[in-house]
Amino acid sequence: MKKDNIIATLGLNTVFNGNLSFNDFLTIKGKYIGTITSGGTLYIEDSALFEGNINVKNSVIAGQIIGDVTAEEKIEVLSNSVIKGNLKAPVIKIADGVEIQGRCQMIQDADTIDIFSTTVNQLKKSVTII
Amino acid sequence: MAEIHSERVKEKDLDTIMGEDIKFSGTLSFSDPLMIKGEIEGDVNATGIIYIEKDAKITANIKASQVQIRGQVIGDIIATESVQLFASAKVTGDITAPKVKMENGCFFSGKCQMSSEDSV
Repeated sequence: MKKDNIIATLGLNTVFNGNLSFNDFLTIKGKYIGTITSGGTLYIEDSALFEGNINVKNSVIAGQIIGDVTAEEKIEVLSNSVIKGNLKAPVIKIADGVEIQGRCQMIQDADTIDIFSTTVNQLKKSVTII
Repeated sequence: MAEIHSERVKEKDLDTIMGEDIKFSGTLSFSDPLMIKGEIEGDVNATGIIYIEKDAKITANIKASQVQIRGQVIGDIIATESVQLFASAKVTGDITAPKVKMENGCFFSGKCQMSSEDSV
């Protein structure tokens, strides 16, 4: 995923406590306590500490999360992230070295590619390279 | 009246930018410069500089070292260094700061108290 078009960043030395909603992209590098609801893409950087629930379209996680993550399309968990909570999305990608304490639920969706009925080439195209 | 000639801050230099599409309600605290373009409701408690851009709507009491306003603020502002209101600014609330600048054309309704730098 491209990171060039990100227009919103919550920096390292910030503490947010409350509810937030956005439409496009958001990167969190600092501390956030509360909920995030969005139809966009949320990036949680490795320096971030998130306490609360996330409900977005796409989510890329590299930091620490205490709470549930629900995504309409996809959740990507990058290496060294820590998640204490449940993950729920049609597509979930978890890298090596991730610590997850919680349930992982794949939602059945008509738009989701069925890995058992698609060709290898199609599957390769559907995978995002980090 | 002399206009305020302050250099516009470069977005690249800022660590935190809250875009136009962001709506936040709650408490926000930070120590680095921060730019707000969206909507905020609640409390802002900071030791850094806060830039409130043209389309921003803030319904909150703001505490910061410096406050630069180009957008709309409803609430009291307390700054330890300065408060600047640009032409597009709309402020309803009290301002307390050692230095206050207001550009021609801005809207300000409230009390203004120039405190000495030690007392804030």
